Amino acid sequence: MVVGSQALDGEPSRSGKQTPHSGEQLLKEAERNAKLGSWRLDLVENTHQWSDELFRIFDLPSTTTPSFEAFLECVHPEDREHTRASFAQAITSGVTRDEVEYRTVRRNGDVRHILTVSTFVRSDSGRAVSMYGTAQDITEWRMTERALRQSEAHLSSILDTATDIVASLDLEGTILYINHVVAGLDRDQVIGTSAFDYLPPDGQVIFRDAMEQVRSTCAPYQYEIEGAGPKGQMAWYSCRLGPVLRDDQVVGLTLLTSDISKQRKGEAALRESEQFFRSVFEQAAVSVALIETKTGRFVRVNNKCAEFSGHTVEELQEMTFMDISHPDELPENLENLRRLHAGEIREFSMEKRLVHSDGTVNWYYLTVSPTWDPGDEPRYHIAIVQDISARKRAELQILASERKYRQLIETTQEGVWVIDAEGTTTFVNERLAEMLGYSTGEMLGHSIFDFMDDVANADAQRNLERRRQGIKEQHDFRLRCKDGTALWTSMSTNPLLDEDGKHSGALAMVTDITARKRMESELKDSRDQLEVRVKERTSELSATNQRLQDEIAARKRIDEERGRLSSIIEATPDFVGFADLQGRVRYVNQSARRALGYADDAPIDHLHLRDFHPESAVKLLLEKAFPATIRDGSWRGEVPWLSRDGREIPTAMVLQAHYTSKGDVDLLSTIAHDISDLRGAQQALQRAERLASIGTLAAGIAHEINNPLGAMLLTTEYALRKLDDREILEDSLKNILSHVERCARIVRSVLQFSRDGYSKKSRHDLLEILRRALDLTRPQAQQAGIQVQLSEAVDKCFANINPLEMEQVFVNLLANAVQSSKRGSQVLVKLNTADGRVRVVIEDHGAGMSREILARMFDPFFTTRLHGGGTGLGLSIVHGIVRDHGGSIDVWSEPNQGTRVTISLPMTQQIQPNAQSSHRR
Amino acid sequence: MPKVLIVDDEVSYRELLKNVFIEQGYDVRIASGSKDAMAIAPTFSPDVLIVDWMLSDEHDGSAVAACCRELNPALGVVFVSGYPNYRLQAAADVDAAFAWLSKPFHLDEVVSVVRSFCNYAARTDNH
Repeated sequence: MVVGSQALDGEPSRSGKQTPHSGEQLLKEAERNAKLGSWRLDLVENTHQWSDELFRIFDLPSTTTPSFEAFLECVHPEDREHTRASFAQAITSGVTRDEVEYRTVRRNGDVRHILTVSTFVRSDSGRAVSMYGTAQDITEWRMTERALRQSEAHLSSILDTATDIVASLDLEGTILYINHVVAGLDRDQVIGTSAFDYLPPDGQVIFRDAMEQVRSTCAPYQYEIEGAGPKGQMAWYSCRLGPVLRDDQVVGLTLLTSDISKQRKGEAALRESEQFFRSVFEQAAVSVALIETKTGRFVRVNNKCAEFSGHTVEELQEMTFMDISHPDELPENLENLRRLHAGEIREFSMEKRLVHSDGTVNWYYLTVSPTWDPGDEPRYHIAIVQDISARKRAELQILASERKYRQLIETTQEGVWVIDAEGTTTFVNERLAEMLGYSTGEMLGHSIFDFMDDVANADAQRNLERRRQGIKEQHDFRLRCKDGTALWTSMSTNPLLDEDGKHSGALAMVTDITARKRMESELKDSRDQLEVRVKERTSELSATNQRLQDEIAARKRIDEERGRLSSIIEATPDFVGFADLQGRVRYVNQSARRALGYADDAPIDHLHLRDFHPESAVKLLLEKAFPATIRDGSWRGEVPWLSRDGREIPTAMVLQAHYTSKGDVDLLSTIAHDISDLRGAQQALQRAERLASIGTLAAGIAHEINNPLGAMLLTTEYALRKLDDREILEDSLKNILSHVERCARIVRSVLQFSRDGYSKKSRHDLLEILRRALDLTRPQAQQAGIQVQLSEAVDKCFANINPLEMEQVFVNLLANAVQSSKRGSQVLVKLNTADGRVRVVIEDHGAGMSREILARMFDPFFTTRLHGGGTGLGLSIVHGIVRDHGGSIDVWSEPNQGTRVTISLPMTQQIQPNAQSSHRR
Repeated sequence: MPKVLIVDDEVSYRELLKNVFIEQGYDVRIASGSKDAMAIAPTFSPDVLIVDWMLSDEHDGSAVAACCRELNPALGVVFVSGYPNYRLQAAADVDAAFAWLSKPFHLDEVVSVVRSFCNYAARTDNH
């Protein structure tokens, strides 16, 4: 077992370069600076080798025998087991490198964090035969960058130490000798210059006073003065100015200057620095390079240094440190070097990246120490490089992660609020502060209870208690803003635990739900309004429902009406039908079906007007009636229908147009009345008229009858008085006879007038009837002295007539003619035939008729012969009979010239002598 | 001897009545119509007028009566008609008529009406 400070790595590979200090001292100093100890363990021999610094790191007396057990003694009891296990595992696992971190307890009770980096040397079988490495106190790593800076400052102050400046001056202050100068000055150039040149103005005053004191007192004078320090900044120096006496005369001055503040620390730092340097070179786990400060060229590098760079030692010594530096940190590195070179700083540390020969980049911790003493000319510096990639990666990850979280926290729309176990705010993000109207700074350090009203306070106390029980939950919570207004939030709270699992506070994610609360309130309002509207709508609905029911009732009434109407249509004796504009029949009612010979249920959809009307009627309908109906809306006319058995049925038709909702005509309807009976109806009407006028007529009839009756009465009474006068008796009887005949004629006329118009007609010889009439009127004519003369063009003339009616016509007309004629005149009667008609003309040359009488001559009971035997009914009856026989009657008359009456009747064929059968119309 | 004018378009009436009133001792003239009557009246100036109310020529019986009454204000008028009396009374000048006779009527009726009037007129004259 070897104990002590034997260098592990031997001498540097190249010894051509001169080092300003002994290697051992330098390394020890460096090792001490870096708090980096090195060790070696021969697993076969079980021998341990520890560097001096390792003893200090473990706080063990240098007399301690190095052993694993002695090492474990130093380890914090809680870390011993995992440290032992980690070493054991590393040895057996086959790794070549391993890191173990653990805590140690110093004799004074301080706990330090130590990182041990081990490298394993293994046999061909993979068994570990030896291991070596470093142990570094990384308590500082555990600290923040500020701690590192403090450390740096601490180191700086240590390295700031300088030996006293000893200078010899003449009485004017010219520097005759100086042992060394502060950084940036050349000693040779300083000599011969004035000491005042290196002092600030107030320093110059002090220095001048000091010189005056010494010259006048011949005794040393001590003072303190501010001047340029070793790092370039001002420093306080303790100065002792003494006289150089020759023959009790002050001939010169001596000056001793010491940096009074840093002196002792500086001495210690220097010693540590040397030790660090030595120890760094002692062990191989750390890369060490000696670099020419001016050029950056590698002067000496150890194997480890070559290892991390990927270059051989020989290659490296042809390169500068800039060649392997990552460009991003190079400016900082060079600036640090400049300051080091300028004496502004005594050493520096920095994190930087180095580029491996294979292109990979890793993070390293660089510690640079100068090899020159303060005031010496800078030549070389030592760089210790530690691989911190893992730590840096973790740090970057944490940094990135932290940045990410920070970003999230700061950009989130949710407020973040962290409180400690007492409810004091330890963190809020901008969002939360903004919600409450504070700045984040205003909230930090304040209790959460300051941000709520009393009611919420009680809730918050309970909530906080639940957090202490580890319950996380979400709840709506009312906060109070800076301006006193309430803010509704949704809080999602999590209890926070420290490393030991103890409650250390709570984290709340806070969402402004004022909008949601407002929305809920609006929703409620809206719901209330909705209910009102629903009620309104419901009443509207019931009103609508009522309307609907009314409509249904109305519809039902309409349907019922329609049903009644259609039953009426079905029941009416008139023909009712619909057809489209092309004449296609859509509907005909029952009356039409029955009259035309169709079954009640026979389909008629395929039928056309042609099937219901004779051809001429179809033409009339389609060409005249339909267009007129479409144009005018309706049309009236007489249109015959055609039954299936070919019978024509004359009708009076009304056509009606039916319109679509657009106003176009799409359908025509018809109501047609069977006028087959029209003539009968007209006759019935005439009869009714006659009956209705019977009351009026009765007087006229009585008058006509009473006249002859009166005459007969008087004549008879007169004759009874003259029974013996045969002549008077005979005349009276004749007179009575004529009046009886007249009465009989009147009665016949009245009967004829009031008959029902139904008369049998048959084929008769009109000439024969005319002759009979002449015979009947001849006595009257002879009595009146009038000759009646007949001239006939034919000997027989057949017509379809009622012989009694026609006889009456002729008698009536002949009597009129005779009565209006003057005694001795002629009445001419002519009969002729032409164009299938027979004409009878009766002409007299009597009194004639005025225009007024002519216009009224056919009116019933219009007579000019009240006492002449006229009934007043004659001509009106004549007129009716002639018309009934399809004939016409024409009258010409002039007063005092005479009257000519012409009757025209249709003839039957003369070659039908036996057409005796009667038939009805 | 009272003068009687008989106006009727029925020949059998006027002839029969003429014979009857002549036999009764009256001075009788007859006319077939209103024109004949009005022509005879100024020269004859009847005491009694028997006239058919409905004449077939220009004027009716009441016109003839009016004409004769102008000649003799004490004229007695007997209207005769085939119509019932009520119709005559409704239509004619009631005051102008001494009597109404509807056809058919008896000989005695017309003779007694005329005699009654003549007796009445004779009594009036005596005063």
